[in-house]
Amino acid sequence: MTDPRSPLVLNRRSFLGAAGLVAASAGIAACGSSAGGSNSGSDITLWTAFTESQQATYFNDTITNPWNKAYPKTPLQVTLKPVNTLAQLQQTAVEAGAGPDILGEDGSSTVVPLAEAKQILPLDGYAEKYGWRDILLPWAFNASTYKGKLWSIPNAYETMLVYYNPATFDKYNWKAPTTLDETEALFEEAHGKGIQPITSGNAGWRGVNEWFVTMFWNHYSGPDALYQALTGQIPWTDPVFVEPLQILQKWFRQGWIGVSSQDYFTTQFATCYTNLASGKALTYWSGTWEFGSLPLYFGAKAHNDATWSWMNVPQMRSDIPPVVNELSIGGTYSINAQAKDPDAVAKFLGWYLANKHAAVVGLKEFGFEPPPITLTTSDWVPGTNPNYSRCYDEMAVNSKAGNIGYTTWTFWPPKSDTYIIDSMDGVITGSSTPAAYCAGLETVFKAELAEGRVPPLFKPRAYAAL
Amino acid sequence: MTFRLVDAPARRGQDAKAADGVPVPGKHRWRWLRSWVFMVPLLAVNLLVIVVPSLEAVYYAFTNWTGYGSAKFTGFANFRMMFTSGEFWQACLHNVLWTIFFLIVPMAMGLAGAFMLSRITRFRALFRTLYFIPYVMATVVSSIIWENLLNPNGGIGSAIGFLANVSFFGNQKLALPSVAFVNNWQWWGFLVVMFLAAMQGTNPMLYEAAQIDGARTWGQFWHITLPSIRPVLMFLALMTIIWSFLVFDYIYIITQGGPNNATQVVGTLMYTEAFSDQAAGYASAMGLFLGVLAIIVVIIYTRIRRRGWNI
Repeated sequence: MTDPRSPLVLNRRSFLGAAGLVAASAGIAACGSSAGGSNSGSDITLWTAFTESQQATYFNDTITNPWNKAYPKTPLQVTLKPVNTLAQLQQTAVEAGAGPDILGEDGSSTVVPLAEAKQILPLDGYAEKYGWRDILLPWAFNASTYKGKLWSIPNAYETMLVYYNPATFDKYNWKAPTTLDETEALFEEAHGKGIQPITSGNAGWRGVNEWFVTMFWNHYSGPDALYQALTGQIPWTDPVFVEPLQILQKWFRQGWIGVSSQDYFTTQFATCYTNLASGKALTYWSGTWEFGSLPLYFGAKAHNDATWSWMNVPQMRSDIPPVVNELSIGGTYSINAQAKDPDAVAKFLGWYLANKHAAVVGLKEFGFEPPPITLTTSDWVPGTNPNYSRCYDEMAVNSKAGNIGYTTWTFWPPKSDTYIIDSMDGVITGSSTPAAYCAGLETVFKAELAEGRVPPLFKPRAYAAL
Repeated sequence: MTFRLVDAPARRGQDAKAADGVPVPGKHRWRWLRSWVFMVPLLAVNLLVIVVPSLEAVYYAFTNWTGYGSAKFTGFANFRMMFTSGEFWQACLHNVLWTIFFLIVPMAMGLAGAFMLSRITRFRALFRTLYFIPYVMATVVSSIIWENLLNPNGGIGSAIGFLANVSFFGNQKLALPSVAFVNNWQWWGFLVVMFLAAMQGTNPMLYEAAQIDGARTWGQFWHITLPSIRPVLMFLALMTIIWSFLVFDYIYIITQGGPNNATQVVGTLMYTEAFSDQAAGYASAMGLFLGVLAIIVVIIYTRIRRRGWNI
């Protein structure tokens, strides 16, 4: 007969007791490591990810080493993480009360929950001390605020463009279209000649869906209508938002975007670049982030003599500005509330924003999007691809003129943004109508608007006078 | 439930005795301590990465946690939302279809492959290795290989006439079975090896007797092989059901739940809710639902065993 209380028998009580001991030991060990681990001293820590080793070298040469040389007492310690899991790793660490001193986020919308959870510090005092309001473009400063406080500084900004291969246009004596009618006439003709009007696919990133929604809403509905909808003044079911999606659906149905919807769902980015370079496709509609990858498929590097250029997304309705730059913050830096020396981190961020050299070298060498700071023609490094500099010169002009719009991934709350991406598949395949899509968005958006989850907005043209 | 060390003494206070019958208390304490030393790493890992997060997930399932900061208790709101969501039930249906596919196709292929291999002696090790290779490949690698192979622009489809315009991952009707096919390609070789190992434990005299009695190959398989490997078969079926409800990797890599949610399963939906929609509480509710399902499956399996079924 077995006595369950025998000290030599592993019963429930001894099991739980031992388990508690293990957990306690682990907890003590964890506390010990966070107190005296790699974060000791006054290092400034940053987790980041690069897709190529040369990019890491660039970051070391233009940011880490110069800073460490100038401020050896508070050196920057960069830890490289996998690109695909960086955000999750950082979120988990922050939740555990740890993580790096500088928290990098994808955009201002993902900064909001950090601010609400008090996991990052407000930067208003530092902004005043280091003059960030003057350094940053006004719309970008405003978009980085939440409930009246500054929570992050933007480290990249982007817009949408139409990429094309000039040789394809020259071959048929075509000109860059500027209106919807011109665009549709051109696409009709190109399609008739067996040229794909827009090469595109979302196999590499489902978010490609929202690039189209963003472009059609900004260039047909217009920034004013979007501002009204984002502030709850008009619903998403308004015809001004439904009509452009009907046009977009028609383009898909006619095979102007991708060969077919099925092809669109299986086409990778590399195929799009190759199609554009080979002349198989007329245009490619995407954002400035392509500066880092699209050029690699053109010219000597790709063993061809193709060139690329870009044009603005055409004006799709006569009563919106001819040129609108839908703007987005491509990345942000915030200060972790657990940072050992927030003042040193803020000093680094101030130094980083004032470091125009790093921004322009990054753009020249790797097509990295610069932070939204005032960059003039004289700032560009010799040898910078004119396609890059022209883009950012024009963005500066359009920003000052107030001809700026909104990207869905920066200015829509998270669930609405997911809805915009996922439910667009139905519009693309024709299993859903644009009206039903907009009605669904209205339901999701209204709930998030009521919860106060809409990111901070700038008002179109409000910055023209600044 | 009480676990007992194999050679532990039967009663408290009854220490083991040396060969001359004299008790040696220190010896048992040492054994007891040694067994705990071996247990501690496993316990620590289980506590830290399974038990604690699981308990937290149960708690968060009843909150509106965004994945950041504090959470507010919301009762059954997440579950109400989940059970009234068409998207959730559609994902569940895809999980069910996935489970049915994996209970039939790879199981049948694995059994057939193992049975055929069990009948040969030459090259058995070679085939076993060849079948097993896909299983040791990284999921992301095999996903990308098949994504390219089945791409309508330049894949094997474009080289084979009647498949030229078939978009395996872009067609809403084909996407789920196509991803399942890719996963099966990796999985079935593992089943072959498992079934083959089980089949090798079958007494060869049974086959000889069956042959003498005139049993054909199918009869031998049905009446000898299958009954003899039933415990392994049932265990793998159980694990297939559980794994099918947890499926995530292949779908996330190849289609990300698309097109038009045609491949959305609870795992991918949960990921989207947690990391894109900032609805970690709601995602936890889905995780809890999956966990309960797995527990139910295990309970059914255990009950069946207790009723004396030889599985």
